[in-house]
Amino acid sequence: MNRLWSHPSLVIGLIATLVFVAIGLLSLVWTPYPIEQIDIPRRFLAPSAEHWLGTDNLGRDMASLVMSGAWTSFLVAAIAVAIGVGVGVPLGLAAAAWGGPVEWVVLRLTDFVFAFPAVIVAILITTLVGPGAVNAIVAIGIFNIPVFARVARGGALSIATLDFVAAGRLAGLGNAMIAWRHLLPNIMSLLIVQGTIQMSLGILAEAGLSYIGLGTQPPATSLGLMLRDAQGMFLIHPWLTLVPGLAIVLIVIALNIAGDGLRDAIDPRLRQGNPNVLA
Amino acid sequence: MSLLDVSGLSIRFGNTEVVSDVSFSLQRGERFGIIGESGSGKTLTTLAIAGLLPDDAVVGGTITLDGEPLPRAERAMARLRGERIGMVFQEPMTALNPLMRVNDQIEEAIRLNIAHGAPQTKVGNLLEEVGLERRHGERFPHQLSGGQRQRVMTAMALASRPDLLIADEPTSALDLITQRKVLDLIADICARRQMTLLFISHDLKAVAALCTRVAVMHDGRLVETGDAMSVFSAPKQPYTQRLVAASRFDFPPLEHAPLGGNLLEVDGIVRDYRQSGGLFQRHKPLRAVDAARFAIASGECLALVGPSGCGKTTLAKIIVGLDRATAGEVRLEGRTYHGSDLPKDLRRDISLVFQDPFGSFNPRLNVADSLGEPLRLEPGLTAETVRQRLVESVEAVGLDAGMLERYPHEFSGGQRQRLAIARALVTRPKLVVLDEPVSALDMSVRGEVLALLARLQADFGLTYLIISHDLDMVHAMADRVLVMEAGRIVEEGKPDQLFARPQHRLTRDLVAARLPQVA
Amino acid sequence: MILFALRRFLGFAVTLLVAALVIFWLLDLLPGDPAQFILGINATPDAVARLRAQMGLDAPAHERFLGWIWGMLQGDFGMSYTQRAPVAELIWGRLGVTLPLSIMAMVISVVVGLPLGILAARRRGKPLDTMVMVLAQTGIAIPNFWFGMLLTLLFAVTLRWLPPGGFTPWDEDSGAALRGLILPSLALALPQASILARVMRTALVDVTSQDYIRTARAKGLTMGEAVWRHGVRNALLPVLTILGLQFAYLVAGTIIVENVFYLPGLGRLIFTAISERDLILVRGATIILIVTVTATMLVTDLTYALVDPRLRERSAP
Repeated sequence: MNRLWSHPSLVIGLIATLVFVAIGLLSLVWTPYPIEQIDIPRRFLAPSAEHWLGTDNLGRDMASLVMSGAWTSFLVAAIAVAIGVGVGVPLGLAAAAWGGPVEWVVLRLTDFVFAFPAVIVAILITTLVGPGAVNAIVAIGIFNIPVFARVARGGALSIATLDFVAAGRLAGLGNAMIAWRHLLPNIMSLLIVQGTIQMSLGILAEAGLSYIGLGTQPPATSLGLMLRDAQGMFLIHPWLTLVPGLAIVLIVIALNIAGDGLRDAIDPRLRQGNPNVLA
Repeated sequence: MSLLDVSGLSIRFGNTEVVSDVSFSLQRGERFGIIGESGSGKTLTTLAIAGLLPDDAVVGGTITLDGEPLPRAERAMARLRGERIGMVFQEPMTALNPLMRVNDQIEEAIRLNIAHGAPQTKVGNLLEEVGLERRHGERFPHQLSGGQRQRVMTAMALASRPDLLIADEPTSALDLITQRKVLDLIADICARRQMTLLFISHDLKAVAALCTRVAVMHDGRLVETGDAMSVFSAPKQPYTQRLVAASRFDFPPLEHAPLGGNLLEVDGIVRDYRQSGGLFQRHKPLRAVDAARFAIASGECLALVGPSGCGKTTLAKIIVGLDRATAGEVRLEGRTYHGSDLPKDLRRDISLVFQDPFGSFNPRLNVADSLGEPLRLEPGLTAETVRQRLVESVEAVGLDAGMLERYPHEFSGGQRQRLAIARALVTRPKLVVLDEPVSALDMSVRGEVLALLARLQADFGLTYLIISHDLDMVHAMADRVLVMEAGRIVEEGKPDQLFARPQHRLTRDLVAARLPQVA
Repeated sequence: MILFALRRFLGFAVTLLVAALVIFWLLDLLPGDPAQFILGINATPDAVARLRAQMGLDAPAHERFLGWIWGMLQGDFGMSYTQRAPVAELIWGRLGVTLPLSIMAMVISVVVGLPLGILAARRRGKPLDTMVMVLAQTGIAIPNFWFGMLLTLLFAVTLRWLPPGGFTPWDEDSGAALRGLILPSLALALPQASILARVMRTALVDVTSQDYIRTARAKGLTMGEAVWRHGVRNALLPVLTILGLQFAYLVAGTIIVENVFYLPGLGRLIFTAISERDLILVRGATIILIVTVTATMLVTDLTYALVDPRLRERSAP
């Protein structure tokens, strides 16, 4: 633990991320104003003591919207990561532990899913069932699956050549036990680092999908949706665009710094670029 | 005046001094060897001479070449290094640029030194000098064997006709026969070109074969320097004495129980690997083991030797149940299996000690969990029995029961290998397969581990199957030796006879490649 | 090498076929009858049935699927029933915006990202490195469409250098068309250039510690020369993989960014099609996107093999 704290960027990134998460959580129980409260006469107000970040075109309190929107973004990204981990990691571990045809199928599957950028998946789902936050979750989640499957398989393969795995097999452990007892614990750090990367990509992807109307729908709000709402008037009221955009940038930077710090703290050899492949 | 003079050299990284007060000098034409174990600072010393230390290293002391201090400017140092110092490194697999043909890489070394008025030479001549053919020059590094790559490295080192050749563990990644050939090549070239050699190795015999004067390095300091003959025959420092003893495998032989009947019979084992030809090509399968047939008597210590890739490890994997034979069968006390179908109740009778003590323990499990894993093969043991068995086996290998709660990273390589042996003993097996049991260990602890193995065999009446390429170790340990080549067992005999009068060509080559004992 | 290429090409074809199957199956599940849609609610069941037969909708699913694939192979993507025009023609018109935009963004990100990455790696730990990495860290975090809005504010509204949006077709005024794509391609390129700079820097730093760099230095090269002659090409291998993925996702990314600039690209075509439930058009457009993504990955794989001799011989994937 001390080792982790000796990385200043990790500490800064983690604290910043936790602050944003805390603000998002707070929005569940308290926001300065209810976000549904439309008050047309009080629209386009500049920031003031009453409205810290001003009001939007419908007179809603921007600070409240950002709080609530940040929470949606986190939630969407986190559930998408959970989907990616939940499906991808077992697939990757199975590929590494069983090898042979299982591995072949998993690899072809991940190749195949890589051919569907999140935007295309979202388009297909929207065509099927109409727009909604769930679309964004599923689309980003599907995109996360091959990412985690590859990371898990790659990490597990390098572990699987080590002798303690052979020792486990000699002790009569089956593939599933090998994966659970010997492979998974040793790739946890890889998965945590990839998780933070996919969190930040997920937040960006959610913003993009909501912005083009395939993601979160009113009356709920997300940072991307705020940008969509502000789209028509951003030349006249740029403030409405700047606030949610900056919020996204800050959250993603916090996550990325935390992720880079984690990677350096856990294993300096893992320094590889993160392919930002969101659509 | 000496060619190279190192005095008071120290190297620091941050607050840790890794090399302290190292001084030696090399006369022109001399062959000087530095002996040291991993982490002794010997490689850093050579890097300091070549000006190749990482940027964060702080260097003290002076190094002079022909009386001139090494230039401080990077470019001047680089050119001096190119012109006057040739270098051959340990890792033949990674030391060449994978994307460039061998010819181009050698050509680069030649071209670089034309610009500085160095004597001209041709790639073809260099290839010939290091014993390669011209067609090898057309290849990419991954198309060459380890020995060939090391020859390419040597050719590049010779391109500028250097005065000084630095060879840092040039053969430790190579197999026995190739190792000998590369060592002979270096000796030849130094003699022909009147070149000064600085040879770095952990292998006393390699140093003894090449060098006239040696230094022993330990924990960043030179502990003993002198004439090769006198250092090896009458080492003064206790550390050197330990090294010399370990390299001779001097340990008191133990009487073990008389041999019983056949414990294990290997009958016509064949293992084919399907070549990955994919959809369009069909390769002939690669035959790793070809009709191997032998038996091990109860209480015997049998060794299986052969060059890398001869199939000895595959055969061992089939015997312990990690791989499956394509044809043939194995019988353990009369019960038949073919490899991975080894029945669960027989698995506890065979165990394996791995080569690499660092990879054989899961870093996330404590020692008790790792050691207790094989006890799953004996269902129905109570927690107390398990605990007692763990303590028993840890104490048998000379470690303390308190170590069971600790994690692998807290142990040294030698201790881990003891723990690996303890894990192999915990099910009270009959047969223990030892896959290169000491080759990943530092020289000074090899002796202890081998002595331990010999004692355990005597105490518990174990049967050993040793897989190794190290003839000296095998000579010291085994009752009987099998020689394997390309999947076949080509010769068999008692070590004394086999090594004195080898019959098969491979055995003769192996015995000839064996380096003479020091002093 | 030919075998390697053949195998990859086969994989490409199979991926596309399965992707087509998935898309066909998904969109076939949908409730809603195109024939009914075209004729309106007041049409007689008889008329609807006739039109269904005419459109081939009454054939079994596998026949319709094979018909669709066969048509596409001949360049026939079907008729859009909302726009009353061949789908192939509609898509082709929109690709005239989407493809140049993606290519421009790619070129910008390579031209900016790679040199910055190399520079940062060479000045590792120096202020320049820190600056580039801070910029890259920020660049990665900025949503491209939001950056597009900021660019519009600055260059179109405040400075009035470039048009804020809209698109002049290439055959009308290619200069104006090009100008219309500058801001969108910059917006798309920013995150990609940041990623490239980071990947390039990491790859080069990694390569610097490789044994063959030490060998090159032993030959008489300085660190800088060794990295330049031996390191960069090796470091480009991981970068190449990223480049392939990036182009693929840039094409998809244009769908989002073209909204900011009101560009008539593939994205807008798809959104109109979705809202009008023009399934034939959605189907054609998505398959074109997937072909682009998959083809890019194929080209990356082949280039990789051309650069790396080790890969050419390895027969298994």
